[in-house]
Amino acid sequence: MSLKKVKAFMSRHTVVPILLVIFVLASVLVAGFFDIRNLFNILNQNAIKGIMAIGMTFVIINGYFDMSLCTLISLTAALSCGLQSSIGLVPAILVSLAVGLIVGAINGFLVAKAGINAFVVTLALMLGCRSLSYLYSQEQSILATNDLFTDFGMGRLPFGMSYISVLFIVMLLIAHYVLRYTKHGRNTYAAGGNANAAFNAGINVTRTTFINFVICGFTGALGGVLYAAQSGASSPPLGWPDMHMLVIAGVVLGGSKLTGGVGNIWYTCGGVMILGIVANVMNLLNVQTYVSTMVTGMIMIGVLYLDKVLTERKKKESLTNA
Amino acid sequence: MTKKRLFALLCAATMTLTMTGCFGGGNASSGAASGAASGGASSAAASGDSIVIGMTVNNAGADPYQTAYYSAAEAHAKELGVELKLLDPVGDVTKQQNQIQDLISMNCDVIVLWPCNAEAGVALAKQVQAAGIPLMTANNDVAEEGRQYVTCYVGPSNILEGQQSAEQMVADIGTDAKVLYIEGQAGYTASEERHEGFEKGIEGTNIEVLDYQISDGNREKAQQVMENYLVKYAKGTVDAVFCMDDNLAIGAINAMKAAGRDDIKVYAAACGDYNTLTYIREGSLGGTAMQSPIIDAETAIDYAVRIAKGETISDYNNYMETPVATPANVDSLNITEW
Repeated sequence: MSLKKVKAFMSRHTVVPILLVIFVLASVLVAGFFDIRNLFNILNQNAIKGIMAIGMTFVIINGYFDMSLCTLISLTAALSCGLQSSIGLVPAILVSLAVGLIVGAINGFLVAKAGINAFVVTLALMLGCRSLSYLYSQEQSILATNDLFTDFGMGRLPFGMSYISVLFIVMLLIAHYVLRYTKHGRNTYAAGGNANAAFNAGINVTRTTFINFVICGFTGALGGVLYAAQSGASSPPLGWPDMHMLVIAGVVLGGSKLTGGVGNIWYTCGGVMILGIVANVMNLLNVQTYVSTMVTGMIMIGVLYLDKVLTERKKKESLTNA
Repeated sequence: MTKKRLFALLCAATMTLTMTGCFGGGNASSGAASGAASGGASSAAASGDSIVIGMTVNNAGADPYQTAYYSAAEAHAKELGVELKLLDPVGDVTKQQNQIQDLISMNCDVIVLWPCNAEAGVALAKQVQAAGIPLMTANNDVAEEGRQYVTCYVGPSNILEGQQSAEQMVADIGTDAKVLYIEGQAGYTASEERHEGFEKGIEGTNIEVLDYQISDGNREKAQQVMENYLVKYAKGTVDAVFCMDDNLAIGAINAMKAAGRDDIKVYAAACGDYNTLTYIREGSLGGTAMQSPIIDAETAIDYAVRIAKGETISDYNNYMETPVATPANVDSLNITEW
């Protein structure tokens, strides 16, 4: 690959140079960062957020976003912990995932079919899930009783990668396949890029949007179940108040556009990892949490600004070349 | 087309590089990296002569008690010459999980955990133990199931505080009274345990609790809750309101002042803010168990250092003293300012 090609690639996919710069800076400047245990640690820490970001990527490429995620996870975490003692582990997980599918389907129906604004719909579902979660759990933490469940959540492969990280990578590959090589994936890009044009081209935009919200509901529910498995318990405020924002931030930071039509699953992976590395570095440097939250915000603005500048320059270049 | 494929490849490559690449070439490269870095930053863990304490303290900065705890712990660690890594999960169990993993990878000699949630703390305790690092819980203990992984607990007894304050309330308003309750954050252990203590304190009396409401642990929300209570319960129908802590009690006092009501006595299960003493002195707060964050933090650091040095701690529970302050005895208690 020639230097020019590398440059073109970098300016096309801005998340790559940004991730590389942050990674190299952290490795050089922060003691204890470039350590195999710590690198696996970062992957393990962000695997669940990454799984939820996968579903969010579908919705965002479709031109919408889903805020109900933030309380859906505490609901499914509570259900998966609370039901496993009465109906067994597998049914409990299936019920939790089904709840995610239902919430996703309601979101999808109201947004795609009824045409209500996604902000309002998903906000309403977010509030609904919060009260359901509190009602179900009676504001109490619920301990997971099944050892298999927590063993999976806390389990590590011999070289330090958690089972959840393996699941994350498998899901990334599946999502990549769906987005790139299936009809639904192509329809998603088309619907997000220009819904009218997609409709006129004969694409069932309503169905596409509906399916994407269901996918997002599913990954959200799965995220909740995995958080419960990882911490061996559910707690009512899990995910509250900003989990959906962090997930959306991960997706957008990677370079997917909130306006829809642009993005892919590796952008999301990169975006989530950038947030993860920043959080890890802040902890290693012993920075106060509120300061590190601010730094994260500043990095997001910086990255998105850089992305804007690079995209604009690329546009100009392509105009002058033509 | 090719570019996209290339990109996917490169992504896969970077991922494998971050995972396996440095795994294979591991020792040499990471050794060089940490060697270069230790020039700038002090890496005491590597040198081995200084004690490193890793600590995750819930909500420092959001709550006056935790803020005082935070600075007292830092000051005391400096005094003793130990290195302290102090992190704050701001009430988020997932964040605390990440911080525990970060502390494990920082090679601390001892980890001090102030869990956001006692049940979720069990898994954290298990992880720390699996990493071979001794764990101590501070201020708030993990749930029963997790205590087998914990060396000891240092801090106040929330149940005892709730009970002491409730008994003080019973002594003031009699055994046939009607009271209201303002809870802290849902699922937060201190809130649940003080509630338990409160129930113990009013056990055997005819006291009727008319209402329980949660406040998310902040003063503004507690004030709103109290405003609603005041609308719902007219003058003379309620004798006292019992709050999870002094912060919420002040919210309740503010609501009463704004509504011009003084018929309800206010009690707090425990108090972690020195300024609250002025409310006790002026009589608007009827009583609360005093819990000094300075004593709490210093005791915790002392115990952590002892554990790091390899000493065995004989008792599991090491409670600090929390005397009940009332308008009558507040000046004779001799509480150090923080």
